Amino acid sequence: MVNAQKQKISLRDVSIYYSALHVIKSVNINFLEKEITAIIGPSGSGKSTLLRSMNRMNDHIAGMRVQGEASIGGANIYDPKLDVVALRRRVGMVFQKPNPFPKSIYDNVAYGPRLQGQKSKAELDIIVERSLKQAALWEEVKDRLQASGLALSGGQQQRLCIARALAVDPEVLLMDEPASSLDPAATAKIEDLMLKLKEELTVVVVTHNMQQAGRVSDYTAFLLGGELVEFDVTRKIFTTPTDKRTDDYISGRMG
Amino acid sequence: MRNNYSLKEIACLVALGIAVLPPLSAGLYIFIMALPGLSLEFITAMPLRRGIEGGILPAIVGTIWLMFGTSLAALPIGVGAGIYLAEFAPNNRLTRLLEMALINLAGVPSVVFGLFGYAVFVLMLGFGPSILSAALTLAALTLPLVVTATRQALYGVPTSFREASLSLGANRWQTVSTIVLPCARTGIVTGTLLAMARAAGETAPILITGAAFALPRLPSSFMSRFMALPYHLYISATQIPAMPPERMWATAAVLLFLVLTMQVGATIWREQERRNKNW
Repeated sequence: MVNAQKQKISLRDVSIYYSALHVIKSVNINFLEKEITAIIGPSGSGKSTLLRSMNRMNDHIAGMRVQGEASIGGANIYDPKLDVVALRRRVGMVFQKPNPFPKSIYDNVAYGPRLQGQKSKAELDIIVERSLKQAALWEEVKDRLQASGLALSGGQQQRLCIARALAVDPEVLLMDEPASSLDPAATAKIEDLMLKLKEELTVVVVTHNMQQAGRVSDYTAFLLGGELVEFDVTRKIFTTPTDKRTDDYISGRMG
Repeated sequence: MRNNYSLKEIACLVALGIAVLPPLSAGLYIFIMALPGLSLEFITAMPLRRGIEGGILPAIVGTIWLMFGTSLAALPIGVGAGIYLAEFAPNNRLTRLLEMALINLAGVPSVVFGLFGYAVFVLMLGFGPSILSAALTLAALTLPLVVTATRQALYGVPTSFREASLSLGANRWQTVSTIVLPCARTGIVTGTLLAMARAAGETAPILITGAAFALPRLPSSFMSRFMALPYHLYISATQIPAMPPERMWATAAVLLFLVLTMQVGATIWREQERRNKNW
């Protein structure tokens, strides 16, 4: 592993419980800055729970407890004094199913900046254009920014959601199976986009799709039953995994 | 094509007929009987000789004032309570108890609300017999309906919208006010309209909180006494032997028309919005 690189989010012995259910078991991972880390594993292995622990989207689940240390840029994510709203601006999220608001394309992207009090139309115009360009959607929608976000195709909707997340300038983008509901062409666009995005920010992507993890990620974490079985450079995981369970999963003998 | 119905199917069909026919034919009957009594004068003039002659304009206007006052009171409180229960209340025993109490409140006989309104609004708060007292009483009666409609409309908004908003750095109140409420607007408004239609027909709650049988003038403020269609009908039928029957039918028809318009309007609007909704 390249140690010179800065770690963005670090998980130290992180365990997560839903009441009595032990969902994540003592996980240790460093997510490196401006790299794409894929989290793979069978259904129910805790991938989404782990992802959502990093922007505290699990907070509202009754009985949820986190142990261990999760930090971003050295600051403890679960510090009771930490401003969750500020954390979520730093750590953006894209969901499995495209979920644009039933608002115009423009208002979808401007939603985050407006929450932060940005009222200037000129400023918002700049942010909206920049974010849509970053999400590789600008050319397709620049003439109909006032059209409903729901009028777009599934792939376009997902890129709109990415633009919406980018509009608040996050340092990290969490993506929860962002292409699982899309066709191969739309999936390819999202993957290209991810490779472009990592020039600017840190990406963590949960995926069921092994080829996708192989194509886009720099590092891969393999979760099984809430345990981190193996975490390494993606090439190593896919060619010479250390653990037999990783090998079984990658080669399709499990999950 | 299959044309041999089983006995059970026929029995159910007959039951459906028995359930649907009486209200349908009653409605039709009322409008037919009302025809001789209906005229432009009837709906635009003041009552004369204790309502035996003239029109029922003050009753129509009074009922509209009541609806207006009732929604003014019930909408903010009902929607607020619904928002709290659906979006903020912790999932615990107290919340469930509150929800249960609310559902049971909807089953309390309306005359009990009338007594409550008389004791609290007319006497204790000193509003006297007035539109204000009656509207607040009707608001108390319809609150459970508005709260329930609000809760259901809010539950219908996908969780994914809330998550997206939270993930963009919105707090829960911002999420509710900018995303969830606009999405639930139609359900809340139509639910409230249906509750108001129910309130428009109530007699018992306004009986002792401010309704008058015959007034020669329109209400001038929320503190005025007022005429209302259901109360006028009730007194016409029970206290005024000289009242010509077609005038009673006509009053019933006007009330029915008002209530049906609200209900059908709310339903059509809801269906239209539902079709336009793409989430």
